[in-house]
Amino acid sequence: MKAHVLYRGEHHQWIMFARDEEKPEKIIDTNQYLVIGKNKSLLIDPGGSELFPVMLGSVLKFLAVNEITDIFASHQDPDIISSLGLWDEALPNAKLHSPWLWEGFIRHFGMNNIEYVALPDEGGRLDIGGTELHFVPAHYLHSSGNFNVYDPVARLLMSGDVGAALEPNDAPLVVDDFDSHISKMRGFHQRWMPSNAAKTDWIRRVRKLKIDIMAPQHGRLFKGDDVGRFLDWFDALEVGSAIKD
Amino acid sequence: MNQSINIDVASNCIAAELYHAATLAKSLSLTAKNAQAITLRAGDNSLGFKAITVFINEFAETIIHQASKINDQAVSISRLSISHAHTMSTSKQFNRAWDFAGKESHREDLKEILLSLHERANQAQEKMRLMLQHLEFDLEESQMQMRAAGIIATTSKTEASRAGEYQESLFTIANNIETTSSKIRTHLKAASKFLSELKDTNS
Repeated sequence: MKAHVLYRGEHHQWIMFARDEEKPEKIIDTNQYLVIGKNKSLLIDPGGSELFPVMLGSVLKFLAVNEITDIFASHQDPDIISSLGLWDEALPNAKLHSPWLWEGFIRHFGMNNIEYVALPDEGGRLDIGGTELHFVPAHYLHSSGNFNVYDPVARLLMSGDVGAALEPNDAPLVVDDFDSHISKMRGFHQRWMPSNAAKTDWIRRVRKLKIDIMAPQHGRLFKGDDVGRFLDWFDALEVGSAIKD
Repeated sequence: MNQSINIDVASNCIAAELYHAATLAKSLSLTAKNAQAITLRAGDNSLGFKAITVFINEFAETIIHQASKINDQAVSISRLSISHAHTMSTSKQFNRAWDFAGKESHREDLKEILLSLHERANQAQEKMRLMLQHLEFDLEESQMQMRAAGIIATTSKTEASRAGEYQESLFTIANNIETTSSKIRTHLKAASKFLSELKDTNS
């Protein structure tokens, strides 16, 4: 598992964990994120149970286990949060911020100690030791209850499955040629994203944000102008491809 | 994990055998009650049979009670084995995290968690051992009662032959008691076999 510092500011830093060499072949590669603030830290989409030992081992290189105070799960999928039962043993005092819609489902992954903080559909905010992170609604992109995390100070949007690409485990971390990257994203967005209306609404809201880095849960980071290029490309893309005319 | 799955399967098999035994015991209790009604009509000719039906009825009630108790024990063992499997698997994951973290990390934090998981696993193992002991004792007791019931069932045929005009009805009932008792014995024997497997798995 590689760890990369995406942002280091006065009060907090963003770390990305990705490209796990230990990952079983048939499991989709995922990107996990950690925001370390003063006295508080947020683990974003910590991943599946298969990933847990590597992920915990990687996180411990940056901070003590009891310094992780909060977890965020963008939605209910196993690659996002099936490790919950294990984190529950490691972080008994932590809070899990996740869509209200999925509480009864996510608890199936095992949650005896961690507190579930149900995010309302309109989103919410979380102070991580002096930095306020925004939980941005991304419903139906792809899950029916779904959020992204926006950091206005780092100008970073953790975009969940939006911007995801399916590619080999050793792919570069950052999109270097947007046009050639399209082929790695198209099928995923057409099939996994169900709603054109949801997509258009999300793009309208996200265009108003100042974003230097867009960080999806699979694939590569979008930096600088590639963020805008992605939004334009996504805007023009018809999604929900499993329904034929 | 396989060990716990084996325990889970074996304890559920015991519960299933006892469920069948209890169902048969309920039918036996009903047969005994019918027999009591016949012996009332048969009067003095069936006094011996009447005493047997009282015993059979009490015995059937005991088997029903024991079956319910053993079933609860088997379900508890099954749950405990799953919980134990989860603890062992979690412990393995944290041990792997310890290795991945390496020396230059905060991995010392994990010691307390690993210790707690180890203690939990040991406690579950000890609890399971005690529960298996209780299960074995109750199952043996039921089997002993069934052996007595087998003898009584045979005696009931002799008593039925003295019941005059009611002889045929009481013969049918005596046969029913004998057959049902034998079936219950078969289920208890099967449960014992699963218990032996369970004990072997847990040793």
